Amino acid sequence: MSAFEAVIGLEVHAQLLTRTKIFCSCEVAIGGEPNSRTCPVCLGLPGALPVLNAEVVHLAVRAGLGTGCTVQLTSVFARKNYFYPDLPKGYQITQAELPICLDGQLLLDDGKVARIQRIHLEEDAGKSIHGESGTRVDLNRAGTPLVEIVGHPDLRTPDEAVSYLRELRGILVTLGVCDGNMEEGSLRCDANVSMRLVGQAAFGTRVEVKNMNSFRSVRDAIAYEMTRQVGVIADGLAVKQETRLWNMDLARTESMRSKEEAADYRYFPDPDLPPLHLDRIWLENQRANLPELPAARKDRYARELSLDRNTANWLCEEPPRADAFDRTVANAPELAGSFATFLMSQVQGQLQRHERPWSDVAEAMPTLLRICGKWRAGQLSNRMLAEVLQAGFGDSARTLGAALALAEAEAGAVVSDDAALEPVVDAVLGQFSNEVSKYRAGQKQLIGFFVGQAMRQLAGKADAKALAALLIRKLEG
Amino acid sequence: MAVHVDVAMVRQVAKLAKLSLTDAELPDVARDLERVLELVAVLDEVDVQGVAPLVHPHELGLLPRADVPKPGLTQVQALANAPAQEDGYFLTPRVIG
Repeated sequence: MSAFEAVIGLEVHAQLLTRTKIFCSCEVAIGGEPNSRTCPVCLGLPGALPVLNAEVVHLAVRAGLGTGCTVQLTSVFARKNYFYPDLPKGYQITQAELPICLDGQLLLDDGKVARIQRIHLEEDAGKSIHGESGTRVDLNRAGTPLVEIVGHPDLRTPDEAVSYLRELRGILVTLGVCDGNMEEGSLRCDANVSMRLVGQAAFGTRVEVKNMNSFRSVRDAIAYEMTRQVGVIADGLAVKQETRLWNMDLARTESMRSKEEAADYRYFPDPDLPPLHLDRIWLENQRANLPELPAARKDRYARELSLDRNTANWLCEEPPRADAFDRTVANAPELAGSFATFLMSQVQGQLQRHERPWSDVAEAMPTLLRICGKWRAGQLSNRMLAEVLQAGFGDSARTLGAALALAEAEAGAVVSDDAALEPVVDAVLGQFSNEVSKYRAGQKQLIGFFVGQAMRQLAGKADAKALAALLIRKLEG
Repeated sequence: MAVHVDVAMVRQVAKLAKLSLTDAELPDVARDLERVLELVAVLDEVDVQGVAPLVHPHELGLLPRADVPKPGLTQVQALANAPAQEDGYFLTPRVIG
């Protein structure tokens, strides 16, 4: 295995966040009755003509600018011809020789730059459901606007592929281009994977892997495919050029029965659509008005808040999360670092435990910041913090912010004054006289034991620092 | 330069276009296609060096529309001309396993 390296390139389809379809005014939505959002254009009825949605152009340009592409002032729509029941016209309108964006790049976690070859606009097909009585077709999705982002085969490991996809997703979500939901298919990723000997310049035969609907699937499917191809080569056989589907349940890729032998799409410019010209000044305005992108945001977190890379990545993974974080710590920059860690370690765990979405947290951020501040200042013990979070996140009767505030009030204040702590401390020292002797003989690490015992007596509601200080005074005084 | 069209080429094109041609028809179609290509081959004589490819005869570019939904067809209207339908879906012969 070590003699081989993988060559991986991703093709990502992102559904654009528009209200209407790319070439007609039918609404883009999820669910509803089948074939309830169609018109003569997206049904491919004779004589119907496509009219381009301006917002589609706007979002594709943002995607291009956000990924460092050169936006083309002229681009052309083309027909990709093939027959399938969910493609009513018999061709898909896409862009071929002259796409809207060319030559971008993404900065990966490991510092590597992965190149983007192109971004082009296209329409989605409908949905086919294969059943006993035949194939059912729903054309609500037909004509939904997509951008396809084609990467160069610059990636070498499954982790690099995931890093590329995360970075791309972060940019698209930040720019409002796509909602980034992989489970629902608004962000879809195909991977071209081939193997070659380390040091070899030529590419091996590539296999296209589809049907990966999470970051985890992308990593697992590519890793599986690498091992499979090395196995084929080790057996003295040739890797077959084909499309394979990731089967998550069986954790393997499976050969897809090919629709047609050799794909021959016979692309040509669509005569129904004249070229798309962009105005140079409009384009420069678009560039000037881009928001802070994830890479810049991560740098800022490292530079200004001293966040470690891991925490910064985690915050920026979901741009709305980072937005809420920024808003919340704007007035408490001194707490930003510990609050970020607090969110990643404590809050994230609670969300998973109670199966709540991240959107719940945005509203509760100010309350969480206050609780984090109290905890850091010793006004809440570890145990009290855990109880407050547990009670708050487990309470579905009110908003998370209100639930946490209530739990915080019920938790009360930590016991920190010596007068209240002293009787407990004395009792503990009396009960564990052996340990007291050992401590005094030099086993200073026993201080943790004494703090633990006293904390238990106080039901976890003591200020650990005050308790330790008092114990040390008693033991050493 | 005219292109030679053989029977195998016609078979491939017919397949892509979902046309069912009998073996007996193939040589005639091949000859017809060859004549069409001969006709168009006149264009090969034009010197196009330094001329940018033209993708559309109009000077005018696309005029995009605003992203505002408008009502389209109802489900009943959409399915009205379908040869077969089931529970609000178009129904086609089963395509794939």
